[in-house]
Amino acid sequence: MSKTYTTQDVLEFLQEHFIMELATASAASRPAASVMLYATDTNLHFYCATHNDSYKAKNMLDNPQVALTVWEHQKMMVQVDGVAEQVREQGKQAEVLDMLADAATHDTSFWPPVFRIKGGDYIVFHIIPTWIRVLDLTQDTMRQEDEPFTTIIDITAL
Amino acid sequence: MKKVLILLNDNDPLMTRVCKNKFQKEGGWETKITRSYEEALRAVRTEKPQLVITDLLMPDESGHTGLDLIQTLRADNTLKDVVIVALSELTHDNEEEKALTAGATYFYAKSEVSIAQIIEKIKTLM
Repeated sequence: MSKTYTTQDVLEFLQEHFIMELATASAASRPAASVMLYATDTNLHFYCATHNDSYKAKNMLDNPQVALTVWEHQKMMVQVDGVAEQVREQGKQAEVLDMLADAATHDTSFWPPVFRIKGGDYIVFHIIPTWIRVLDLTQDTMRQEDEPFTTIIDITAL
Repeated sequence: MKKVLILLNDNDPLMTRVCKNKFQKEGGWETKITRSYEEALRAVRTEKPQLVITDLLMPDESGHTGLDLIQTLRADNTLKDVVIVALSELTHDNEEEKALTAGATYFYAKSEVSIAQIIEKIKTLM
């Protein structure tokens, strides 16, 4: 029987982790996948920062629809659809950079790849989830009749 | 144990935050962040850090760079014991030679060094 997760379970999982696979798409619907440092707040909103001249930054400015996953083998996978918006207020930008720096410190040797890439100034994004579901990965097998996903947020049907 | 203070002079707002957190977590070292030649020079003279880590370029409004900061610190006899680590995004253009000639103790290209290597180097110096 698959495990059912609560919002608190998902929040704790997301706060233990700090890397997400982020999918963006250009205005012409050309997809791009990126591995990014992230931070979350208690509302399960995601925050990230990248160079303002990167493909993913341009994509999110042109087309705010994004999807992302965070997962751990034999634990869980979190799938998110959401809407990205640029954080423009300087105080909030500083707050997000503090959150990201805290997240990057979870692992002793982690050094964000963005530091190795020459680019423009940072641009900061806030991702508001419209749909979150969680897959139980604690079991090696899954019966066909089981519903392995737990939906945490779904405002796509509203 | 003597308190260790590191002055980190770089205008990358995320990298400096990550370094500050990791220096505190891994070594218990305090970090003062500055973002210009003038700000760094003032902080070195008033707070007397044992180590200065500075971006080599990063020109400020007056046109001064990290290279100028290294030269100024080395010209001051009261600061001659400060260890200086120069960081640069470039590995060409004789950046390493320029930094070491100016008086940097060590030089690292940002694209070729990890935070773990920098922390290990600091541990050997403290």
